[in-house]
Amino acid sequence: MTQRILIVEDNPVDLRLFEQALSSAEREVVSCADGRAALAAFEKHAADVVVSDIVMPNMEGTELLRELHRRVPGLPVILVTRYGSIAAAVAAMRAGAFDYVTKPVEIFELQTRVARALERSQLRRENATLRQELAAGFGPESVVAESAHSRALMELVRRIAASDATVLIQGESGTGKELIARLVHYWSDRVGRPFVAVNCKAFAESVLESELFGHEKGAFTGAIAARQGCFERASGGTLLLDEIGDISPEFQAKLLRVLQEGEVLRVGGAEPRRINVRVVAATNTALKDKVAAGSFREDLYFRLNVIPIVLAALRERREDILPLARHFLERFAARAGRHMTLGPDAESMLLEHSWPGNVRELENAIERAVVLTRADVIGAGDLMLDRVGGALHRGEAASTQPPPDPPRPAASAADNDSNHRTSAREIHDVSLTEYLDKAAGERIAQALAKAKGNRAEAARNLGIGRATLYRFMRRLGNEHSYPRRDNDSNGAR
Amino acid sequence: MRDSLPGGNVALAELVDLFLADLPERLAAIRAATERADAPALALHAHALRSSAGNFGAEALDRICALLEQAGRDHATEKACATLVELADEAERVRRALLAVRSTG
Repeated sequence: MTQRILIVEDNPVDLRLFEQALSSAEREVVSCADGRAALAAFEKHAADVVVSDIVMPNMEGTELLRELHRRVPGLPVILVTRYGSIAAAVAAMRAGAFDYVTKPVEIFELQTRVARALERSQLRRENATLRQELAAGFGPESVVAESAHSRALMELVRRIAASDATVLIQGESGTGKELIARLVHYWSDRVGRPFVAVNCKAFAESVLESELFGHEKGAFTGAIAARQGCFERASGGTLLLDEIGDISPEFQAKLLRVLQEGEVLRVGGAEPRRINVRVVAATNTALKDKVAAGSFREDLYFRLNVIPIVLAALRERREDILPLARHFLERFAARAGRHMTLGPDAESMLLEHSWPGNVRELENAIERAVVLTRADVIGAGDLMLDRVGGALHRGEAASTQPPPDPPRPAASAADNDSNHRTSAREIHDVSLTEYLDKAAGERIAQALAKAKGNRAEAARNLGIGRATLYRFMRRLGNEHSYPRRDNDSNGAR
Repeated sequence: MRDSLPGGNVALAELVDLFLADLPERLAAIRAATERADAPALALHAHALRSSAGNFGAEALDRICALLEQAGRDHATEKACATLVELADEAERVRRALLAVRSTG
């Protein structure tokens, strides 16, 4: 990983001396003759370490130090002071300098101090990244890969992590595309640098351009200050462009140019900025089909698809289901301060479920079960796979594996699927909310029939306000079951 | 310096060239600042020349520049006038010495 050193020195002889002393194949040395130019250069491309003279025209080294620390607190800055000026050295350290060297500069001393500052800079970055990774639970120990597909996938990720090639991850929603992108980053040399993820679908196109490429002050209404885009924020690291299949043809052209040129132009900016970012793109749509349909540029597709990774749906790698479920259970139970296990019936149900929402659905099911189950053994019914979000493949598990335990109430149980309300058997199986909804729906239907569709009269007969009646009707889905009477048209909504 | 610079003789020659190229302009700037009693400019240019001279071990030039820098800081530019001749003589001596170093490479 290239280290970047910014040298600020108005004396051309000293400046060149510093450049000579600090240059190496692994380093990029940028030089500026004064503080203002240094700040501009730093904003364009942040440095790992800054070496600055104290006595300079326009802006003194200590002032530059303060400005740099306003931008990046803790950035190692080495100030250069005249030999014998102890007061200046003390002031430099008090101002927050990492270290100081005195003129005339001893080259070995300068090199040693800069090397130490670079080490500090690297440690700071790594610490920040590790904290970020660990907090997010994306350490290598978090990977669960039992199936042949997953083991091969992990092996592939390990191999490709070392390169800088662009990766295109394709897979259904919930299959773990972001996790794979993070692993590509986490297991690469870029680990100490930022991982930035952006969901391209979440932004309007004009906002997306500013979000990715940044903008200059005054570039548009509300741009009160210049702002780095995701490409710049991910400098030296990895940028995940999620939902890449959803960007417009116009934006595809802009993105292609950035990837080809290796530089971004901020919105409202005049000068392109070099970028050093590994791009990982992800999509849940078949990008190739979009290329065939003409809605996605073929050249961009090839630019992104240097290393393709296709994630299998969870139903296609069933060996992963139970290890993943146990992994999630361990995590959520520990968070709740409990020790819990999966009962045999729960394991059977997990294996039989079709998992249309993939790993995310499995994770949610386990978290829900941990929250709602009082016992330490989770049963099939605690998973509520047949009631939440229509996740069940009803043809199989619903008919062959009825939940043996009474189902628990769930916030999302207001399911309009009449299959849940009709049979006498299900009176015992449905949740309390569903049962009450069913009763309320029948009572409201009776009241409306008696009032010949007059909502106000039906509400009075039911002993509730009209607003409450409308709310019930909307929730139960029989809002339009009865024709509205004219004198009822201004009813509360 | 020659031994500790990563580029050795080539790097040193480049620094000497830079110094020699900068020297006349720097001397002129010190003289002009003194003549127009511009104390901050005198301090700044004397400081810059002192810094460069120190890199080559030019101790006498370093010392003269230190006097000039201090005169600038003390807003005593009149004191600097007397030192200008000494500065020019010493700068010339350093220039010749560095040219000799340069030619023996």
